[in-house]
Amino acid sequence: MIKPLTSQLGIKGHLTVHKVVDGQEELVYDEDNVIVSGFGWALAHLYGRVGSDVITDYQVDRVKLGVSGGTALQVSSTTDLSGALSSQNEYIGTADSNLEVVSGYRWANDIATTTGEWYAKIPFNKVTKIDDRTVRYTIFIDEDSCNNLTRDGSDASLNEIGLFIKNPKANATETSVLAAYRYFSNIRKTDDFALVFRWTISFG
Amino acid sequence: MIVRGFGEVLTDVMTVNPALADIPSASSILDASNFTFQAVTFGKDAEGFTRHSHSISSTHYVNGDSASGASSYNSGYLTIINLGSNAANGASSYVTSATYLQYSATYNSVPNDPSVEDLRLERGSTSSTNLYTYQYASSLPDLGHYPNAGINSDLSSIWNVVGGFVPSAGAEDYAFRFYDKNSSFIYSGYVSSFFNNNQLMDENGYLTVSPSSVSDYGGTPEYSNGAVLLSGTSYQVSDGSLKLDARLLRGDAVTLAAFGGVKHIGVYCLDLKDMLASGLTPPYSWDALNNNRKYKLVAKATLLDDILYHRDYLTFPGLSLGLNANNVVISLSFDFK
Repeated sequence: MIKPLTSQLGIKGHLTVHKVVDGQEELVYDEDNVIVSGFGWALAHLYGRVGSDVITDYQVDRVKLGVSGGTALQVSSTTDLSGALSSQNEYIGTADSNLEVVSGYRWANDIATTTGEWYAKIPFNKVTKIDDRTVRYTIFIDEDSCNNLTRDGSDASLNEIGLFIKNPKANATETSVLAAYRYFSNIRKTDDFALVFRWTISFG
Repeated sequence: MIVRGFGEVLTDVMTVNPALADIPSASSILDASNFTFQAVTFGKDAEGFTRHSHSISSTHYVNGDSASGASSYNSGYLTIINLGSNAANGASSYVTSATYLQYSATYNSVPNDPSVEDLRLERGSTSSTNLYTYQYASSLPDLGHYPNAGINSDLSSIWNVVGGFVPSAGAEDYAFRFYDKNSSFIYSGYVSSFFNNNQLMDENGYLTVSPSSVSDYGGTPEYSNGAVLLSGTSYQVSDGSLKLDARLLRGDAVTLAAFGGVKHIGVYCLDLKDMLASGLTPPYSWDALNNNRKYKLVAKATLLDDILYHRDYLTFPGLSLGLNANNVVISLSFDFK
């Protein structure tokens, strides 16, 4: 039996979440995460040469945040967040958010969705090569972003995050695939503080 | 087994700067093919490079020749001695285990256990120690796998003692002679190299991978451009898996078997960082005779036993009518999930 790539190479992720108030960081979360099957699906398209001819289409360049996370989603078969932020407004509101958000589709079990979904881009200068087998993504949710979220008329807290690969099959409308997922303890985001997610992926 | 080199390639994939797209002289670095599988090699146990090199043996005599060393002889053609020639072992087959038994006091025929840290197929030296009497034998590279002496300008004249691939011919005009353990002539034949006749392998033994995608092949793999990527019912790209097949066509299988067989298979991506540091910029075209590509081992498969193990069938000699009349396809499956 062939061992999957993630176990053969020991690919693993680690996520820390920090609250930032007046420039001071407070660690509020620090756990490993799950690499999901979409990562391998994208690699199979790269190494089978049936996906995009441009390597940047296989890069993790975007993220989703959500409010309905759970431990049950921390499995390889997860293809999306449970309660992803569903509008541009939920990400950047009407204030001076520094986030760049984009709309696109998503691959789920080799089928592309056809309804636009919202992603926050990860600027390339926030992608850091830690060593020859480790990459860190820094996602900065400033004071003006993702604030005062509600669901069904009630306050909602951020509690899930997913990293997405850009557009492995070079679709005309960028169609991304979930590469890593993590549920974390509730954070009721307001304009009193910013959040920094530092997500480290080790490729062996 | 996926090795650390693949992790390094994936890290490069994730961190190559998208802004290169705006620099015409550098934009081709972003071509996905710079990061995909580009070569396959074949290897054996490190000592096998000495024990199966076809130098003259002090313990065996053929046509009056003798010297120190290994399992076979150089008489200007590929000479193959079956040191275990009997009915059980296959009287007309090359039995690599029999060579081990012949030299068991000094021959460790076990290949290195694979490690995720491996940078090459065999960690020990794969230079032959019994070829020093041959001109240019010092040119033999220590690669960790089989070199392709057949197209090396220095080594092609002694391909029949170095192994494991025949020079390009166009016709099957390279002879081999097969002897039993008593040095008695059994039969002769001819071999040719599909890899060298089609310029698919460089002098360092790197078999190129066809640039075609899995979807191009359908049900009929086309090996004339190198190893091929395949998708099928049990290994589909849509499920995150695929296969990489390398075909040993007749003569290539015979000569590899005759020099100790195949116990390792290596898969390589380009070492893009090393190439760029050397001033080699993409696109990197394939040229078997002047290959300037540098490779990084990303996966390997290791077997305790020779994958080209063969035996006689009834009255048919295993080497000449088994391997030399058929194809051997080595399939490597990858599950990326």
